[in-house]
Amino acid sequence: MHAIKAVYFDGLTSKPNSVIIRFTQSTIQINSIDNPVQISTIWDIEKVKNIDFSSGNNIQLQYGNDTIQTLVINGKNEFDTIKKYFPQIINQNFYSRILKGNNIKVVTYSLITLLSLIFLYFTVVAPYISTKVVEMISVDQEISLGNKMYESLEPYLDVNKEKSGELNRFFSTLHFKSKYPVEIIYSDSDEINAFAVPGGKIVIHKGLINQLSSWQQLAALISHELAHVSERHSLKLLSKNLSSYFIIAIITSDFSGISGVYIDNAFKLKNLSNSRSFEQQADEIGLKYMVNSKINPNGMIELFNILQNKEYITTNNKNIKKIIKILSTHPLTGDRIDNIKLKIKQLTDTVYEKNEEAKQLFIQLKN
Amino acid sequence: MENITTTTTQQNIDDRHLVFTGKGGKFFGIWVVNILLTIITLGLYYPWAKIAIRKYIWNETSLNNDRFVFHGKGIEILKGFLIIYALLIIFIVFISNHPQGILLFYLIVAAVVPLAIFGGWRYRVSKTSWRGIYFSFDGNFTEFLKIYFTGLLFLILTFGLYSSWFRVKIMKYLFKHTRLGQYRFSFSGHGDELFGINFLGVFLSMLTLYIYIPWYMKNRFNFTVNNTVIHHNDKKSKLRSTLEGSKLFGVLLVNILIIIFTLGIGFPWARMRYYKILFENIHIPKDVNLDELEQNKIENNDATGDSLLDFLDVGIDF
Repeated sequence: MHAIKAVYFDGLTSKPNSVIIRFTQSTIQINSIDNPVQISTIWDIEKVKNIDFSSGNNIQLQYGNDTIQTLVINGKNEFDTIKKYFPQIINQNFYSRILKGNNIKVVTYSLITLLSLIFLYFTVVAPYISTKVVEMISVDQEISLGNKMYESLEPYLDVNKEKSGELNRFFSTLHFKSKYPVEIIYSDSDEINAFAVPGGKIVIHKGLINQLSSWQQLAALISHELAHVSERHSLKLLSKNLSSYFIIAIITSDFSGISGVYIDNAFKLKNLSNSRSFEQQADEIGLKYMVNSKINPNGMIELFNILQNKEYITTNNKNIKKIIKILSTHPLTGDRIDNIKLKIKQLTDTVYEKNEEAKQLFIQLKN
Repeated sequence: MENITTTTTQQNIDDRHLVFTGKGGKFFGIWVVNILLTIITLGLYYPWAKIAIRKYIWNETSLNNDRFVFHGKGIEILKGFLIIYALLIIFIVFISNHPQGILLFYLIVAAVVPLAIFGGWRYRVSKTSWRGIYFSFDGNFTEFLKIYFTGLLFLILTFGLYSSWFRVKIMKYLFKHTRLGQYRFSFSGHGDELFGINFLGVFLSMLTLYIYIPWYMKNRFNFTVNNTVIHHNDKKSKLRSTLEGSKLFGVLLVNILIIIFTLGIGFPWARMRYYKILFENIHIPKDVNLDELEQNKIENNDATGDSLLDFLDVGIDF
């Protein structure tokens, strides 16, 4: 039976006592080294707790529920002795067991599992949840949500009532079908921009309309934004963001601010790719609107060509920039133009009707 | 105001200070395991994760070679969390039907802040031991509420200017009711001094493009530590901080670099470096006899305040 030195605290005072401890099969015997012996106690090994995370050479053992006695064992020889006779006490703590010694393997595996879980979450779980959430939101709820969003946006928009009326009349001549109550808003801003708010409101800026040269181009613009509305793209994006933020919140609960910013940006990149696919979808569905209403789809390509070389957002107001960034369509890419050209080529029915009323209204709008 | 006469005005430079031995690698391991289990259990593991982190930090902090121990249990925190989240869900449902209720929300938050501060402090303190001797807290919540709401009233009336004095009032109350064994603590700081520190801190931080922040943090930290009084055997001694702004600046600068260049993965190492410089600059005067502490435990397993604190993210960083 091996005896080792330790320091003992009785749980009643903080006075350190030098003791000799001996291990038996089922007990630890503790005796002070002074003479006559002041301290003599026996611990049941089953009930000894090692509260340490460290597996270094300093061990703290505790015993008892009400009055907690403590043994502090220091030194390499002492540590090795305990390891030999009493191995179960060394890594009693769940974390020390997993992370014991130089067992970097476990941590590496955990990290890999963790990263794959996060990957899985972003690629499978989050999209699933967000789709479900979007499905749960009724059209009515979406409309009232969109109206609220629009209300908070309106003060920044510089709405032109008269031109908006003309725009809406223009829209009604196109005969695009939608289950949403579409309302088009003409904003007297010089930004070359347009965006759709969930629930049916579409905002088009004067700056953009001034760039257009035919009513078909305007029809193409509206068809694209209307597709965003019908496909609930804003809602889907919002829902995706929220479901992703949940997991980010867990992971970063211990992060300091700066790394949070990193993750946030990584996120925006991901959203960008999300919205790219939404853009393409909106192009294609917009094209269908055009074709169904027998409007020459080349208007869409002309529109893209006009937009391609223009800087899209030119406002100086930070807040509005932020809001518009969330809602607006992203800059056009060559891919999108090629894609639409291809789709137009595949069209079989190529009879397009004139629309004098739309043409007149467009001229009126431009003045 | 209480008059504190320190028995030891000038301390020996080699007096006792806290030692922090936390390792970034170890902390990283705990963190990874925590996140993994939290995700797998859909968040339910979070209280245990939180406890593990705290146990580790306490465990690696020692005084005279004897380590601090945190005795909290995940299940206690879980209870607190369930209560808070249940209330939150009820509230969200309520708000979605009555949008005007958001005002009520702010009122409720204002009302639970004192519970969070008081309960959080009480839980942390009464779950901490050193050499088997527990810290304890014998504050009275009604008393604390009076102090809190009086302070809040002043805070509103002075448009926030009162906040330094408010903070000191709260610290005085918490410290006064905190003990280690039979040794009681108290706080001797004055609101004026903290106001000066805050004023200078905000002003100079803006002036120097935030480079002054480490010195501001140092001043706040030193204000807290240097005004912490231990009452022992009819004597009073103050803790002493030797934290220097330039050193803190160095640590924080390297920390930022670590975090940037590891894309955040290195944050556990940064965290350990930060704790080390803070803790190791806390000195306990030699005349405080640490061998004479007597057990004076007050049981408290209610972690609701602690969870609230976590939830509201109210910083009591002392």
